[in-house]
Amino acid sequence: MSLSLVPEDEVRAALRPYRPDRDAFEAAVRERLQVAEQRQAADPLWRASPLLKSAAAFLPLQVLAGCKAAPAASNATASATGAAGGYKLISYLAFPAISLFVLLGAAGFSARKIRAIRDASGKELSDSEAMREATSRWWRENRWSAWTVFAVTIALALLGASWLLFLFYIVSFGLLLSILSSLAKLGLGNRQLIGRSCMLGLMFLGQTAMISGIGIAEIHFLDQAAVGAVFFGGVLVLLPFTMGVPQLLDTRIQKPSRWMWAFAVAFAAFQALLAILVWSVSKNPWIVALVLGSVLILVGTMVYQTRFSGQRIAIPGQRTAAVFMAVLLVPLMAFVLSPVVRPVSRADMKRYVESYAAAPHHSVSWESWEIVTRWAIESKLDPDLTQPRRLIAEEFAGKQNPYILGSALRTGLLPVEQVGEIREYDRQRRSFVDHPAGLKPQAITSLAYNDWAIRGAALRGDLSPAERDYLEGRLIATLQEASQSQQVELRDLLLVTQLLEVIGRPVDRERYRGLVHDLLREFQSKKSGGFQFAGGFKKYRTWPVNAWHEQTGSLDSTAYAIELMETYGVPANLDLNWVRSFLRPSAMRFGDQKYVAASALDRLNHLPGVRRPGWIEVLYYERSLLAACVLVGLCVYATLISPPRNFTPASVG
Amino acid sequence: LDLTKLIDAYRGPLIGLIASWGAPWAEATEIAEESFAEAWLRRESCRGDIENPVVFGRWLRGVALNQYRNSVRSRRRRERRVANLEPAALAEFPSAETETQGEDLQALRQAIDRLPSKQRQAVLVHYLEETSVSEVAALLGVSAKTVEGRLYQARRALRRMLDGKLGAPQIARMLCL
Repeated sequence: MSLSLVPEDEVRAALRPYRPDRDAFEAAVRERLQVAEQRQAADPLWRASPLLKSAAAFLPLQVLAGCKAAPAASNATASATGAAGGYKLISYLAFPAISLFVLLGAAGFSARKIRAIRDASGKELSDSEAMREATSRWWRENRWSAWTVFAVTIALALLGASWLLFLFYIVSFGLLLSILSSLAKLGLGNRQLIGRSCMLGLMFLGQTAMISGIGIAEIHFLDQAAVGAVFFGGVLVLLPFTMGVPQLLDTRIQKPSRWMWAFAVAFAAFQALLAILVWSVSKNPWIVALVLGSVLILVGTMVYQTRFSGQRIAIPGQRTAAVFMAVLLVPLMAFVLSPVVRPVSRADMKRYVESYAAAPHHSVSWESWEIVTRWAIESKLDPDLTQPRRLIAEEFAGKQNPYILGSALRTGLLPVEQVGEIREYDRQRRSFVDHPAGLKPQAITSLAYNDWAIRGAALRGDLSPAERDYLEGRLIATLQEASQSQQVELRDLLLVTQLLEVIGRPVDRERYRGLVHDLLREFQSKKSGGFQFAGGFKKYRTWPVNAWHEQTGSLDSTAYAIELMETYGVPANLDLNWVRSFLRPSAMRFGDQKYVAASALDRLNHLPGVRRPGWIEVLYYERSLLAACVLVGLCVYATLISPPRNFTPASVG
Repeated sequence: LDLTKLIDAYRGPLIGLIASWGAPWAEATEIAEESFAEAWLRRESCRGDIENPVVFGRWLRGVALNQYRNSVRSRRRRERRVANLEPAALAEFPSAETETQGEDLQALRQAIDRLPSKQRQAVLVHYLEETSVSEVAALLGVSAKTVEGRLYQARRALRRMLDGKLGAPQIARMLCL
């Protein structure tokens, strides 16, 4: 049976009257766009929801937009209005707009509440036996809550999301109040016990903050390991107040079990391996000492326990433990806080450039050194390159690695007159400029490998105008091919730009700005892992699908990306705070890395038209650190306002 | 991303889609214009590769749906405030041209209006302009095969309607949908 259908032409004809006029439609769209852009320029909030407009009436727009935006208010609004549905609601109600205000409010409320609890607390227990019983009772009543808090803290720390931890720290204010209140009800609200409870809590929070990769996937300007250091600082402050805790005075020192010794041996072996690994990578004696120091402290404590087992802890015992703790924590805090307190200075970087006397990782080391050295030269630090020149002379007399020769030429280490003496120079030079008549200029592959020959020929004046024209064509072809090539790296784009300058044919920035900006946006990575922060620029466009980890930002590529921005400007919609976050000073950057990061960060801060983060942004992004400081402050406050008690142990002697 | 190319590719289907939701034709055109402007302004918010037709189609449909809902809300407000406004008058578009069409086409147009919603949507999106099935599929978020199936069923249903051979199930479906 054949089915009869209405002809398509008839359907089209029936709908023809409704067809819009092509040109009129496009003109109407463009007119709407123009009106929208004008209105947005005049009033950044005109596209915002009424709720957002109301909020903007009393909150700074940058805070409202989660500090994700550039100074241009229009961008900020776009960020804020980009969210949808439930996310929008959460961001309005909890984050980011009011998080700082919540912190301030919670801190004020907690301080008042602590005083109120102190004032309302009943009669203190004076008998140590009754006190021990009350403590046991408290633990029986609260142990499940305590275990839950421990588990949540560890889980959140392992997740590494600092905004979750920030929430948790605020919740901790409430936990602190709850603990104080319950201790007071049992007659345990004395300074020693409260100080010790707070100290143990802060110690636990500090350890969880240190072991995890907190904040590596988020924007921060300071290393989030500082959060752990703040908690440890609180521990050190509270240590003197915990001497003479009545429950401990009668307790006897116990001999470590065999399991404990087995654990110590395993821990020592692990730390020894870690120390070997660290030494092979960084040759930093301080880090190795820190790693091995933890073993010494653990073993030392166990030897002490074995030697004095059966004796009462008493106050001297507590003091000894406090000294041990201080010996452990002070170097750890100094290590973690050193990049924050004393970031790499220009003098440090000049010293690094001048003292470069060995390249342990060959061309890779040279590449890092070159990035810092070019920055030092452009920053007019006038470094003395005697030592690096000695090193390059050895290379020149030996292998003549093309990558290293390129670095030497780009930093002026290699005299131009010596270029002609490089093996293969003539053959390499000809390979770039000789071409059959009529052949279209081809892109240059492995530009980083071949840079020295083109640069050397241009600096020596070995290129005729026709050869320069031809080379310009090849370099432009390389640039154009970059948008499609799977092998492209950001370094190639930078080298093309530099080489065009060197051969006297500067790049048409306006023409290629869009191409470079597209690539910069594509290469920016917000993935983290392997001790690398999110927000840097990837080295490779493609990454093996079956690789055991994802590609994160590379320090070198990020430095090249910033240099490209110096030439081509900052791409629209590229949040520089992510880049700044990637380059933040960190205790986990060793050797060359910290100097490369510091030089790239300095370049970033001096990009034309780029604004450094304001104090609101800094406070917003460091809210976890701020919350940690407030929590420590509350613990110290709660300890100080609690009444000190003097006890006589029930069975001394 | 070229705005002109995007408009050329999605103008007809988008207007047809908005009309299939129930907007009068004149209003559908305006909503489509606003949707293109909005989608272009907020293109950075699009999740996924915006140059992928499937991604862009889905994104544009979402923007248009929001615009359509806003339009419906503001129309209702307007209707509440101006009691004597005849909504039907807004739906007449373009009246001068429709009068000049033959009776057959007028009947076909009425039959299209009576099609089940998914078939009507496919017809309006596909036939308003010369739009490929793949672009229609991208905009509707379905497979090309599904679009082809709906178009086939729609043309068959139209033929039956025009010949006065409507079956009971089809009448029931039209009443329900």
